[in-house]
Amino acid sequence: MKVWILQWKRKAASLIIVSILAFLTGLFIKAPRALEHYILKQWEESAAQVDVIIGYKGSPIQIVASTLYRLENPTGNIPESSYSFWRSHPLVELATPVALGDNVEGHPLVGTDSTYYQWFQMPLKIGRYPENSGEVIVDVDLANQLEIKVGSSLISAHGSDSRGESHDHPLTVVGIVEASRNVDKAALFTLPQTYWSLHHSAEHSYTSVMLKLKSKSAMLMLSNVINNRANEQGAFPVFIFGQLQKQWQPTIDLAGRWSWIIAFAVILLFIAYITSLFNAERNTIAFLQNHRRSRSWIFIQVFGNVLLLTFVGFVFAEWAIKVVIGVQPVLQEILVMLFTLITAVSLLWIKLKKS
Amino acid sequence: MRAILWVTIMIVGIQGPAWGQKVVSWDLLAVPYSTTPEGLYSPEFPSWLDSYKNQEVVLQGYLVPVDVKAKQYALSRYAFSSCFFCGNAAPNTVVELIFSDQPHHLVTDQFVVIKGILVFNESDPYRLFFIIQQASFHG
Repeated sequence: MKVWILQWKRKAASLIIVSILAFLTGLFIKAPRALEHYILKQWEESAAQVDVIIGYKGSPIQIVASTLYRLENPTGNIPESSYSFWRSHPLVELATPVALGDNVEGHPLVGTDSTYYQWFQMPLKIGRYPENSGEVIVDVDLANQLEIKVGSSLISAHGSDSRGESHDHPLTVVGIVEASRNVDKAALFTLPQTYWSLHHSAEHSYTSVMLKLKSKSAMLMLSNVINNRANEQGAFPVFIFGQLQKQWQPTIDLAGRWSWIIAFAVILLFIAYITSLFNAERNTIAFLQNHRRSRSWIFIQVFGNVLLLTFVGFVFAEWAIKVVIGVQPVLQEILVMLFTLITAVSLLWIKLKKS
Repeated sequence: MRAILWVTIMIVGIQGPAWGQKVVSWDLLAVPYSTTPEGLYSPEFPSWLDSYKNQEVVLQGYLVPVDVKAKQYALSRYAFSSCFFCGNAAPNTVVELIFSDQPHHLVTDQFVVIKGILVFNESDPYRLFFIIQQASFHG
């Protein structure tokens, strides 16, 4: 036992290198999937949740980008009758109206109804959801950032930029929520009625209507229906995602192949470093051998800490990728890590046997 | 020698279709349909299609994703990039695919040849008119 403790004290520097190398090896093995996840996952999440978005005639990409991701300006407005039509269409399970165009200190103000909060999982933390025109809810992180709480007054402005023309009616914060999607964490939510009163519009309108259909195949049956609706454009997030994937997939595949080559180089480096530790321990091993200790006892006393730290490094890499990027572990990658570890152990063992 | 060759060709020629799959065209699948008062579609399957019912068929077309998460795809007569929603597409120009092995990375608009069991959907208004069960890539 004493040797084991001594080893920790004596080899602090090399042990730190071992754990960092193990961590890096773990990261690089998972890099290809992490990359793909990073580029496509965010889009995939939302594309899987919303089947169709109906907006004013224009580019489907613009409609998806503005409604789902708030990246673009909306194409225009559609009347309330459009919302009523789609809400009662037999292929539609759920229809949620969305009004966009204003901002609060540069953060988009989204006018929608209570179905949105269920759809995108935004449970209430404090207060309540908006019930009257002029009431606003906001994600807990954004609330902290803007230093607002329930009861605070806010001023909204036209456009996506806080320098736009300001509205004279202040908005009141009535609730703090916990949003799931990143884009929802950076937005404020109110009722569509707020938009109508802020803009003094006699005719009630929306920017778009998001639809969840009764089946995924129903999407393909709606093409005729949408084509026959005047001034309406149907945008299908899954198709936009498909186009995006088609554009990105070759790059991801190429990057994936390179990632594997780099991962392989890091694995070799890692194995080389671990086996090089053997030479540094030559004297300790010789000393223990003179004391007639068994080979496995010597192995565990001298290299046990190295193996333990390797294991910790791998687990930490798994954990980091899972928590930070959200990539779930897969068997294939765990097997590669296990293989790396076994190779390192066997090489050390063979060297010990030969000495 | 020549006789043997002819006989062989004939045997293969006769037996070929009997073993194998029937190649179907999109024109064959473009069945008439009506719209119900609620706005749903109801297909009519002509009797000359009966010989294809629940048979193994081969069909070629373009892959259209319908659910990225569940990796669900449909096969379309028209490519998405050549304007799927501009007018040509209709409920009878797409079929549902149920893969026996869930495929990974399929690319939108990829032109593929699919083999599978052709099922007529006569009752469920929320699914497409034709469903290819046990679908797999052919050739």
